[in-house]
Amino acid sequence: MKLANLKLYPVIYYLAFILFIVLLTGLFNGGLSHIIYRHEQYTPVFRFSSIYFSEFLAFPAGLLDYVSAFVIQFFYYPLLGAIILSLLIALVFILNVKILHKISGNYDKFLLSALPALFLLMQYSSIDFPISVVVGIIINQLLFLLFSYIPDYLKNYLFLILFIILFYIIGVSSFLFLFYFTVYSLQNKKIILPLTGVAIFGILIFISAYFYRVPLNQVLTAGLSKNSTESILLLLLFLPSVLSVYFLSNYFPKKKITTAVVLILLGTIYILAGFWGVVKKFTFSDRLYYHFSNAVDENRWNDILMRASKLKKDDELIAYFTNLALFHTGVMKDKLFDYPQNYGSSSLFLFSPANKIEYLDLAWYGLGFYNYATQWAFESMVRFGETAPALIKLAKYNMLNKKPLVAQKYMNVLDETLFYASHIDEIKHIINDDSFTSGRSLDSLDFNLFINNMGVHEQLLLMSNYEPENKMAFEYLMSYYLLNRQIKSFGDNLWRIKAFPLDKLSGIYEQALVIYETLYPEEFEQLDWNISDNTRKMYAQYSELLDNKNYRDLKRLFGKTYWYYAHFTNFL
Amino acid sequence: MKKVIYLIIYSLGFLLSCSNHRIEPDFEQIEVPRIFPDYTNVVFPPNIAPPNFAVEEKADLYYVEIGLRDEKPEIQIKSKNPEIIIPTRKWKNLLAKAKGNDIYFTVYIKKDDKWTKFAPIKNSISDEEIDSHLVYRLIYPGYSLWKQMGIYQRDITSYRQTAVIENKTVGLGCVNCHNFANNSPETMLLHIRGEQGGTVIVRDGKSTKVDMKVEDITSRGTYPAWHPSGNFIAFSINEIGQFFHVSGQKPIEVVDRVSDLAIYDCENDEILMDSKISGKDFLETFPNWSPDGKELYFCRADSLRNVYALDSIYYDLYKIGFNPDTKEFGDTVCVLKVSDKNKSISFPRVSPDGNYLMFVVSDYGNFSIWHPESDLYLLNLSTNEVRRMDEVNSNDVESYHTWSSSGKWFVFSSKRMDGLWARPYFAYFDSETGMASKPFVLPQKDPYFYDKFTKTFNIPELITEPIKNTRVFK
Repeated sequence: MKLANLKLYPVIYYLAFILFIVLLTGLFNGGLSHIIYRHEQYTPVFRFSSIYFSEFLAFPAGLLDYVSAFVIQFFYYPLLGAIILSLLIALVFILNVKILHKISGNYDKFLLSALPALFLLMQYSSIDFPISVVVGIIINQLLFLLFSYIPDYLKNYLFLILFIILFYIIGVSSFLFLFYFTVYSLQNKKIILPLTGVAIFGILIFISAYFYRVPLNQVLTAGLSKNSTESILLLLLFLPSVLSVYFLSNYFPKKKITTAVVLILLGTIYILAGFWGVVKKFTFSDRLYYHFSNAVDENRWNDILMRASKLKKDDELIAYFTNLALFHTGVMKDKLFDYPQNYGSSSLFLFSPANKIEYLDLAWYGLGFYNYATQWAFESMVRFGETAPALIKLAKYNMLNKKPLVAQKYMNVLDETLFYASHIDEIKHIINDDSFTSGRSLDSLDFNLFINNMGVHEQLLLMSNYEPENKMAFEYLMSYYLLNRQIKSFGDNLWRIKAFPLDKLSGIYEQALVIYETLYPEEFEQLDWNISDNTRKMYAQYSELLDNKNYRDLKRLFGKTYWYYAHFTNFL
Repeated sequence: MKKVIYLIIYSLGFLLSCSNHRIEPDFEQIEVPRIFPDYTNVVFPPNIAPPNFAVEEKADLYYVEIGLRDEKPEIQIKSKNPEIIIPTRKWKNLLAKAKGNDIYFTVYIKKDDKWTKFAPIKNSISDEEIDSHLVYRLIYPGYSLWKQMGIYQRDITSYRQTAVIENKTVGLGCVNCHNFANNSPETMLLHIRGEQGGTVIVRDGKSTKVDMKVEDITSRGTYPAWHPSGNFIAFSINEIGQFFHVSGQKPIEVVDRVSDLAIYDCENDEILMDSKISGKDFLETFPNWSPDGKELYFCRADSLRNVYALDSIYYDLYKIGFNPDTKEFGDTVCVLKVSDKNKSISFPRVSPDGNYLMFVVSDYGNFSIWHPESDLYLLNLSTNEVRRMDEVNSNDVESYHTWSSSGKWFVFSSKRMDGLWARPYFAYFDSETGMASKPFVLPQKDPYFYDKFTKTFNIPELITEPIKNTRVFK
């Protein structure tokens, strides 16, 4: 076929469609990759099971959520997830073009069909916008496209049946189907059936609320954004493309050059508008948490330290991750104060369970308190559903806690998924992994010890007493004393370090000992450790700067010492 | 014509080959096969749903015959999968014939083109029907948080489960402690916690929401017990605390810091209290009425101020007289003391004929569902004999239990499958001998249901008919 014979507009639309996919894939695999990660990590796993399927029949638009969960399971591979989400958004555009062309025979020359897609792109730049919205729109569009091929005399009969079925599957987002049908009917100068459709739509909403026994607002938001303004706006954005097809296209320039200029101009405007929307919705903290939590998931502890060192803001969750990373990279006793510790000992654990419950287990797991780690992993599952991270953790912790039958149940659930079943072998063998030695000696503990009845200090002491070789318990205990400025307790417990052969104390520990020596000289005499000349010299210099109130140099030279922390940190 | 006859014969031959011929085994095993769930040597009620099971023997093909003892099989199932799905209609027909008789499940497996026949599994069908519906709460067996939960009713003559109330209808509040008078859904209650909270009481189909609160205690009514007349509800008021074990197989200990009993007078909308069942000296909980409504059984322990360790809280079984006409209380009597043996009683439930009292014994405390050592015990109220019900107990938790309306069946929660999730088990009870049959778990359509379902069955209660108007709980 000669290039000149190609119809101009279909080519433009398909080019735009491909461009859309390419640009969006780059975006969702790049600067917005946390969106894919978030959906994959926080959506309950899709299971190939009748029990799982039946759960979706119990609430309005449940089947839409089922289909969405099916789609989200592919986000396991981030690039595939990026392609799928991009494809879905781009499909909204191309399917709208096709449907309107099928109804009217005209093309949307102003490319206003891109508006809903651009709006969706903007919304999907935020982690909270449900995937079910775009899936619902695609289902509407695909069904209407198929519907448009039905002979006209059958359309009127089938419309109501299809519409009711569609409402059952995707809930109120089936309004788009009604919208397309109204456009089709108005073209044929018929209004009765669309009006009937509107009436039925209203009745279906009430029936749905009655049938599922849920409040009306739950029916009205099922499968849509929780923010009703966003949902209404999204539906309204399909209107301009209809206007474009029926009215505005007549005003479109006819000359080729002008057409090209206008199209390039429109394309630029849309790209800029899309970019503006992404920037407007983008949340830096979501991206930041993604980097950190993803690194935690993959045990990239050095990455965490690298990112934390560049961070300019205070954040309790990131301080918690950083402290975990300090321990796991073996530098906690050397570099504890290289990073902001403005939350004091609170950042050794998380004390705001309401906010970040899904990470609360990590410290307890590392320390070997498997019961408590299991509890927090379980609470996380209760809050977010049977997500892959929660199931994997629960299986793992229960294996370590000698509850293989309980672990097996979580593995059975994972086994019904497409991608997470591969984790089962690793979980099954965790009990034989020699690196998991923490907490093993706790079995002999008096069962009347209750962890939530103890303070953090008691918990760390308990583990250190029962497992002197538990390095995390020791380093967290010492860090706890240092962060709380409990210098006496620090010095008194330094003997525990004998379980970990060392030639010399870390700089931080020596710095703390200088203070201990000053405050408790007699106790210091009893210790086996000496303070190096270098540390003493440093302290003399530090004291001199402090006496001279030379705070700038003090911070520059000693900002990462225990002395500086002890003197100047104000807890958040 | 030849072609037509050939086609007919060929098709018939094909159809016959598809039907289940009885298998001539190449080998015979003297042992019964392993099946899941364990439906071997149990007594089924004659109105139970088909007990689908999975054969836990590896094979290429499975064949199962089900029939009346010493008779030809009524049901033949051939399957490539180990899951044996029993056709409902054929099962119902078999049950109708098998009342009071034994039935068999004979399993054959085919491996390497050889059929092996296992010894038949023997089960019995009782004459006595079980109440048709089971009501339970489905919830993650978690700790302090919840999101989705609901109370459901399951028609145990089929697999149909419907929601009585789901917490999505009440602002995601907690819904709990459904309770029925005389196993009848006509007189029942359940608690709703949260902003739309209260106790929904249904009497003669009419519902009211009341606030079961007494002075000086911040908590609302917790464990309820309907008076047989349907005019009173005994309930406990518990202020609970949760404590997480540092280690070991028990994850959590739930303790009542304060616990008293009171009686709600439904007719006059008033709460009756008496110092004999409330106050600071003791913890009273788990009320349960005698069938004549003249005695209230409950559990009592020393208050926490007299106890120094959570594993030293022991509940004994008590009862107190009650006159429904005068609303006066009698004296409290210790029915069974186990605290001197360092044991603790929970969930006393008197049988409908008033002859027996079933209860749970654990090593300490009252939250037996988290105690693997919890077992069911039976007290003969005529002879005062007490025995551990070894025929129904397991190595793991046995806890909350309910009698059927006839007293011929009971259901109880057991965590015997894995130690974390409770499932409803049923057992036949012979009121003459006081012995129960081997229990069986509630049948499900998918035999592996319990291996994959991550919610726990909480507070199983048998009722004689379904709750028809569930909208009253909205």
